[in-house]
Amino acid sequence: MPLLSLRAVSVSYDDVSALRSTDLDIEAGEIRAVLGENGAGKSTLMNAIYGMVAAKGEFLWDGRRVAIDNPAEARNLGIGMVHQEFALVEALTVTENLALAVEDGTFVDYDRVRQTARRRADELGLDIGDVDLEVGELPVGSRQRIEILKALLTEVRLLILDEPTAVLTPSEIEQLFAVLRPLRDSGVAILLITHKLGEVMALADSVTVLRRGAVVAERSIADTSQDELARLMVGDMPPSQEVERPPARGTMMLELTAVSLRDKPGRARLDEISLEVAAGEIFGIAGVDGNGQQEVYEILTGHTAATAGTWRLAGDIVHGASVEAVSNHGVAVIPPERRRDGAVLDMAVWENAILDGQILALHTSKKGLDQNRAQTFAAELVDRYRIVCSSTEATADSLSGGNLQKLIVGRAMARRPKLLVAFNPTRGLDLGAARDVHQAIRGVTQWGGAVLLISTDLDEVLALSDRVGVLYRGQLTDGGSRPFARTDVGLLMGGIRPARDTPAPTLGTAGDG
Amino acid sequence: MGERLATSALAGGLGLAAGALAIVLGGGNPFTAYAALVEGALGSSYGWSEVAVKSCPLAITGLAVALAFRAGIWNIGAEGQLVAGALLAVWFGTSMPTLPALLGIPLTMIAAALGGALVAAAAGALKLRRNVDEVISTIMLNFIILGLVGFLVQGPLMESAARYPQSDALPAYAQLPRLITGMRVHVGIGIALALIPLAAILLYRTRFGFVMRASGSNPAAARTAGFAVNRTLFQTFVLSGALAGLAGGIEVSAITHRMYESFSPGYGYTAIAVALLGRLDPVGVLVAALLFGVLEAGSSSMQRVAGVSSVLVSLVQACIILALAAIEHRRGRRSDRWL
Repeated sequence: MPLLSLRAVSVSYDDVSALRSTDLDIEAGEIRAVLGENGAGKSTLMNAIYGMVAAKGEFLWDGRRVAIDNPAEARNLGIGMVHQEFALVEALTVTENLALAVEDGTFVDYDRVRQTARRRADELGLDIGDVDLEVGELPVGSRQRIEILKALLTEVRLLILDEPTAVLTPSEIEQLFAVLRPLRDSGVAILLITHKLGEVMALADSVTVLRRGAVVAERSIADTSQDELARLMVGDMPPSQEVERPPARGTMMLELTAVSLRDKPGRARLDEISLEVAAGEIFGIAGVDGNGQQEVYEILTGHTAATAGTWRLAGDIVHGASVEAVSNHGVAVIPPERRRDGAVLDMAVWENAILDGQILALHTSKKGLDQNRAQTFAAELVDRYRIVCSSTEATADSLSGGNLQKLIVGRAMARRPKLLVAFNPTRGLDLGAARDVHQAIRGVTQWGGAVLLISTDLDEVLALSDRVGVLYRGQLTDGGSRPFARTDVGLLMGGIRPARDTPAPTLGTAGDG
Repeated sequence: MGERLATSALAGGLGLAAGALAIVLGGGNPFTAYAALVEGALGSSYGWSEVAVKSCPLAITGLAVALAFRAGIWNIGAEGQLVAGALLAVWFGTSMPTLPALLGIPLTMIAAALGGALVAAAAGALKLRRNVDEVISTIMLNFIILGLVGFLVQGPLMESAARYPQSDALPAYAQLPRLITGMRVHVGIGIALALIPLAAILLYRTRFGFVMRASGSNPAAARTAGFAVNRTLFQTFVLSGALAGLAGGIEVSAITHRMYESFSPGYGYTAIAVALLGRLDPVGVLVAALLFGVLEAGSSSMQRVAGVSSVLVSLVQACIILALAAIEHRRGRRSDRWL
């Protein structure tokens, strides 16, 4: 008997059907991957199982009919979930966050929580670090480990993981798999939402493919291949063409010279970073999350002022920190946390399409905001970037992650930026959406713009960049130019300098490697 | 929009029902009481005039609060800003040389708006420079302004006759004219009615309104978009305070003509309820202000005819707000967006 059976489960938001009459059986002790494009209904399916959205249809748990109306009931049944967007309280410590999940008495025994957490983390092989640090201080990778631990602190028979590897490095992914496999062997069922085919093949026992809110195929891993899954998932879209562009060496759009950032105690978050990006060039910054990516992003977007060094945009020195000034210099941004920094969720799609100082200026005149032009502009973006939404009047909240990202990317492209700063631009996106985003990013170089790509996804960095730098503990080292030595870059990410005749040069001059 | 309307209507209904229950518990008849209230407010042209008079400061301060809340600024200080506006209007009006009314009245109004704006600007500077929570600072400023009024009307601003703790009356050329003899309905109501569409245009049709709404809903995204969030927030503080100050100026110039300690019966606090019931939308604010105006204007008639204390109106108003919060919570919305 399956652990959990779904019978004709469907979900609709307002009038839009997000999941249509879906059947699904999950056995104890199996890892079931759920594959699908953005908006295919993966997250909706998971949220229905976890009681986060109201669903029609039948849920059978151990063959018994159950109603899962809220997450508390799901947890009582033994269902745990790790969300793609973390549900941690940033102002609380790791221990306190874990206590929130397990303690329900009047008094909280933090020592007990701390001990349980350490023991369970050891059992699972999860590196959670200092449990008395505030979650807000931790990098994304650590936060996710805390989330996983949180879900597994209580007795769980079905664990749902929503895009768990999106922010992890290859070795962390291996670690995660090493945690999940024994968990499965002990009889826990695991539902894994992902769009990474390699992971499905490596980890899952079976796979369910969703497209447009319906199950299009179920396969046992033994009976399928990556090619087949890719075809099932995206339908009949042509594969992306890797375009080899001649190295363009135009004017310098971005120059960082010995830029440092020290925090209050004087610790170097960034240590004398130097790099140059020319017009028509894509510079990729690779590295494991938490090694200074956030700091580089914050300086280049004007959120934080560097404590030393100079930086120039198209030759002009930028002083201090001002997002407005940087934006007016022609810098467009794809922020890493799209829901927090990229959109105003309770405003309409058309309003989010003009949520940018320069775009907004194009749609305002002495007579004020030109709603008609803004609507037309938004409709063009929706059309051009194939953004799925019920209308441009719908709130941004109603868009799936991929569609929201396409809106944000489209908006950035509409500015024809001199410099595009993109930070983890395809995190959590499916193949189709990621391809669209990559295509748009490449497009910047066609009108002579430059791109600084910061990404913890090494494949992405190597696929897009002309030259690569690797961040490790606040220092940037040269990772070479095309064709890349993948292993060398991987070593640099781990803080190991590959053996060379000369020490790794800094990135003050371009084109070396 | 339809859903919001339904929410407000339901909250209004629940508030009135709670009031009815209170009347029954007090041994009265809610039907006669409410009938007397409606009759008192809408049964005569005098009643209509009073509804307009009561609604006017509520509508303008309601707008002040709604605009601030839209920008994510929890301005609880409309009361203090209103009083500060009235105070500056009186000071200016009683000390300026004789002027034609066509000049005297606008200058008095400007003085009032300036008074409210100054107080709100203080809260805004504290918030943006020193990160002082505006909920705290605006409430504190309310007390400071009220204390200041108490001092002034017994000291420097006390009437020349020096009999009562109140200011001199505004000269005629600083008084907003009343429209009908024997009634208090006045020109300031026209100002309130004109401000409603102006506020709607500002919110929905201007760049400033767009940036303001974006900053209110998600300041992080507004900053990333390259908007001057802090500047917009400060301007919204000033605008909100100016509106509340103007409401005080109109009230003193058209109704009381003098400044005294209990000048405002809490318009600036009721304005928060008006703004929330109006769903932070200018037209909604007007409707909510009219509803509250009817309640206020009819309450004395209810007390006279049905023997139900006029305080009941405050209970109804409070229950409307509680019902709003409860409905929003049930809908699973982030109720902190509105409260």
